[in-house]
Amino acid sequence: MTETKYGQTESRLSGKMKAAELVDRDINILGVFSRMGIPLRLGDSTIEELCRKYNVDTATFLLVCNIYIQEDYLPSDQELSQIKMNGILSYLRLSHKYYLSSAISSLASMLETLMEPCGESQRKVIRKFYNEYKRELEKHFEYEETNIFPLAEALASGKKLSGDIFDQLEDDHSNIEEKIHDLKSIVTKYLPSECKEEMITVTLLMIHYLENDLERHTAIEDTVLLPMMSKANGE
Amino acid sequence: MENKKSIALIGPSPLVAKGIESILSEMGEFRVEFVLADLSPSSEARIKNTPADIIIVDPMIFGIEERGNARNRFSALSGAPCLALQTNLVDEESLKQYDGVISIYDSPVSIIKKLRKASESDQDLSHSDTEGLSSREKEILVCVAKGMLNKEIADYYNISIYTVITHRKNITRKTGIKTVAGLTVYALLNNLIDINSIE
Repeated sequence: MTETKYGQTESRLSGKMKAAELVDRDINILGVFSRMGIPLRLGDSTIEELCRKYNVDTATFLLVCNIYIQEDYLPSDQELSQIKMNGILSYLRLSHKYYLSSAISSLASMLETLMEPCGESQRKVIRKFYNEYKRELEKHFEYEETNIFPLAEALASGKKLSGDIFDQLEDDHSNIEEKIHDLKSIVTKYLPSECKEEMITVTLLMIHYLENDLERHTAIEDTVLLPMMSKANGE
Repeated sequence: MENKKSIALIGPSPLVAKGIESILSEMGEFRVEFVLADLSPSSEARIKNTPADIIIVDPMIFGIEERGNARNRFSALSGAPCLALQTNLVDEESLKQYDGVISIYDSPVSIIKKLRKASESDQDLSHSDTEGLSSREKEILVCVAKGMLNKEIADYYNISIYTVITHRKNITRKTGIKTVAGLTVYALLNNLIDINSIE
């Protein structure tokens, strides 16, 4: 039994569970469905049934969902041995694509609408901050896709490194996490009085959602991808 | 007991410690809470667990190589202002870290004045986060937003770099904003600086 972020105790998710119940338990999981290629008309199907229907690896799907639902979830060796490097890499690549082509631009236009009633210099300040954040995020994803992911593929197909994999990686998320946290503080506390209430609400909901999603994304890299790479390297 | 400010005194000389204790008890306002001879792990625990309003330390308790960075060790233990008690010749540069310097030749009145000044500047670093930023914090924030380094800010306002760091920690705690870019947005939205001054 593990403690969830809502303070209930519950066992790991099972493939026999209804997919709709899973979404009901944690709305943040919505994005996982679309990134895995499961359309959001869940009906009464179980997770297993949907995975089979849309050709998604059930073990990978359940592992990702467990990480979403339970904070500090640490996958067991057995769980890691059930999933394939390619499966997790393709999920991570699709996530990057989602952030860059969808989430980041949605939030950008929300911020534009939010700041519309304000003065030009105030709009400019927020835009500049956000663009900087966006560039950092792009750079970070690009580093992972050109350095870490190909290395993971090579390791999975039998390559061995002379040293520890951690010697080769510099995967630091801290600044990116601090920036979105700062944006949340600014929108919650310090916007000019001209901003419209309802826009503040929807923008904040989006920032919270994105912040959580990015944290889960990092958790998948730290607790699934890196241990799998390390294991493939025989460490 | 009346509301005297408590002092932690750290120095190797019992004679000097007794002297300070006696001067403060005659003058009122401040009171020596405890005396420690050195900064051993048990002394560190004492400082951490019995928060004093002001720390007075004889820099001679540190070896010559650790003296330059000694103030840092107190910042880790307590947020209280920290004054040096100069009993011997110590290099000027290492005294600059402290929030004041008391000499063994100071008159009782001037000792009290120095303690008062240190404890007032501490109130400037207000620990309540229900209030907005203090005027000194706003000044520091503007410097940060303009891209100044801690050392430059310390020199500009003639305060120790540790005081700058404490101000910055308080600014982040109060605003919930950690990055320089975020603090710049805060400063601009609150009209503390003009957008042209950072571009």
